[in-house]
Amino acid sequence: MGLFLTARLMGYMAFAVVAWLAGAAVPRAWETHRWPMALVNLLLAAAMVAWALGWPRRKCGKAGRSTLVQIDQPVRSRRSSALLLGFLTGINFCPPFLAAGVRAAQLNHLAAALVFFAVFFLGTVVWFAPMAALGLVRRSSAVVAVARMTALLLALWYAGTGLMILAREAFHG
Amino acid sequence: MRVRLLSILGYTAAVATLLVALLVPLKLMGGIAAVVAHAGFRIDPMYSGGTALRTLQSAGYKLTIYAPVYPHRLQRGKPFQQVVFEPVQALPAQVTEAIDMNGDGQPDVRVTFRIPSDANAPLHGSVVALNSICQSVPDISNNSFSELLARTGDRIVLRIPLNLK
Amino acid sequence: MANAKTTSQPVARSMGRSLLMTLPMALWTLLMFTPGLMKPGLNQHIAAVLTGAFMVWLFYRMLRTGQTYRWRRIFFVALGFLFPVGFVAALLTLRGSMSIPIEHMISGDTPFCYMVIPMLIIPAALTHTLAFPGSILPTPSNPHSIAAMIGLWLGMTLVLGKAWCAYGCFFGGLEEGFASITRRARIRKLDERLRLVPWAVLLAIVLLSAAIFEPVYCMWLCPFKTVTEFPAVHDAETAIQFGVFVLLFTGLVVVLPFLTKKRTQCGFFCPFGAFQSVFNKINIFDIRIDRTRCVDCGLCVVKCPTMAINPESVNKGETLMSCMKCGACVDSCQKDAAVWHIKGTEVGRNPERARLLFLYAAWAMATMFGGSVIANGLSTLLHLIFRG
Repeated sequence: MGLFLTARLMGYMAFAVVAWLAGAAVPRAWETHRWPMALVNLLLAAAMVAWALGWPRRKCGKAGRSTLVQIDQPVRSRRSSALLLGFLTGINFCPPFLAAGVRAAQLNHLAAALVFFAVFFLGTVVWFAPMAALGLVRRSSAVVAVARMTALLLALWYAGTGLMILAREAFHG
Repeated sequence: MRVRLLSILGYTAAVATLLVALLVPLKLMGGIAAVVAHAGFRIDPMYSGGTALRTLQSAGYKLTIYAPVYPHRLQRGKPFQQVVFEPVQALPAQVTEAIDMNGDGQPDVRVTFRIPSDANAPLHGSVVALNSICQSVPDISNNSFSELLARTGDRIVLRIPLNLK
Repeated sequence: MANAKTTSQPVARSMGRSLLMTLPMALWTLLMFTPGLMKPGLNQHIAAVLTGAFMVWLFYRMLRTGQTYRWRRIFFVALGFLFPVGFVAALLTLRGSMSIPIEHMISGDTPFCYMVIPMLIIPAALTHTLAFPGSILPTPSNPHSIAAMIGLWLGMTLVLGKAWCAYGCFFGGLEEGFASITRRARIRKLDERLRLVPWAVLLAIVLLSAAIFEPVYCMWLCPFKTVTEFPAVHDAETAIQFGVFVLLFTGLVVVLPFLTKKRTQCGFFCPFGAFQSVFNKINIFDIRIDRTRCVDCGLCVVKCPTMAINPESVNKGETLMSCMKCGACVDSCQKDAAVWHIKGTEVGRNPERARLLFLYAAWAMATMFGGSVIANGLSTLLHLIFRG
């Protein structure tokens, strides 16, 4: 578990760096225009809708045994599997993760982005710990349904925000 | 035995609920309200305008300067600083005031506004920034929480947007 | 005791016994309405007497007939339709308009509504500030202060749990009224997942409100803004807000309840209802299904106004967490299988005792709060009729 969480934190930090670099790469001239932020909001809304509707759909084949992650194998394989699984889940593009990425891109300093994602990581660990223990998230179809509906509602919010920014840019410049 | 005990507990709780119901208007409601009132909460400064810092006397009226208000991370609105002029009756028909916002002895903004005779009419004015602390607003009215000139009762509330640090 | 459902004039107990058992509630009503009788004005006095008599009569009928739902519904619909009358009249007197100008928001004159409570929790916990443009303590221009309303809500919730939605909320009666107009529903098939939407709305507004420090539901999603108050329309954004309020009210409160005979706003949208459902877990009263009597006819599932009971829960002998104890299922069950129950006791052993204990508590709350709101609305109507 320690290896898994450490690798997951590394994944979060890597994403924080990428997000901040992406934000820093936005030209200064663009800062007077808010349409890039509008575009990001609309893309985020689209991502949330896609996730809420269950896209992409992948089904594991009958021989769907991973060659990379093998947690039922001898200790050495378990350790490397935990590290890899942790890192991969750490860069999993779920909607809250993307929203946090947008926020990190807006921060002035890389250190601030790293701290932001470290706190985000702590929050997810605290949030998911009881879920993992109880297995609620995977087992309860009601919880999954509520999560998808919430994502759709939040997508509406982001889409609305993006469209309002675009409308203000268009009418007021 | 266990079934009987649970049953007794259930009925006890039911009767207790009834007793609580009787206490709600008599003691409970007021008690909870008092706890909330004294818990140290305050209204979000984006709405309330923040805490008063100092009061300046002008010709028959006073100006109260409030602490700068910075929005929370994702909160809508700009940083602003509130100034309150009161009482309205003591204000001239046109107010022009150079205000030292940060208490360094130097004026930071010059504000100008007229007071309409109709107490319900919206106010319009202008804010000219004299340095980089505040933003100039050529036509300030009751547009938003962070850029505002409005009359509330016996006071004129002015919220001047600040430049981000 | 005659079976209340097999006779055309349901009778649970004799008139004398019913009157005797109504007496404590009549005394309680007198206690609650005495302040109203002390206020100046003939309209207030008439309204207080009429409302008090109305509440006592309804309670008497609940005891006499052994039925809950139809009498509770009369009270609830009256509450839903009379609340806006009194509230809007007060607004028009105070500021001449239903819209809230920004001046009133910055001076803390926005009346606090209990529906804001879930949205305040995280911002208050993190920053000790309340993200609402109201007053913590009552003021002459705003008696509906935050502290007072939280005191009222929490006190009543400790007694009612989710039954707040059937005995306390002054909005639900509107759609219950529209849902009662027709005898048969035009739309009968509803997706089961609709009952999960309030949880999604709750989660979304709590997260957004915590992020942007605004009461998001009030600013964008509350259908009842249409019949109470709303941010003054002065630009495109506020115009869109108002449009959303009207659309949601028309759809969720008027049209869909009329078509489905369900409380669609309450059961399929209201995040406060989802929030109140949590309190059902600690409330001692509930409704159960006696599996020894149930024949799985499904009538209770059809009659439930908020889909708080489904075939799976019937199989388990219980209602869902969202049950607001309105009594619709109990009163419609032909086999007396759906019963009032006190947690910890044997199901079906003495349901009438459970019902009475619940009703005394719930009706005491209904009289205290809903009764005062009805009296206020009635007083306003009398003033309009006789004074113009």
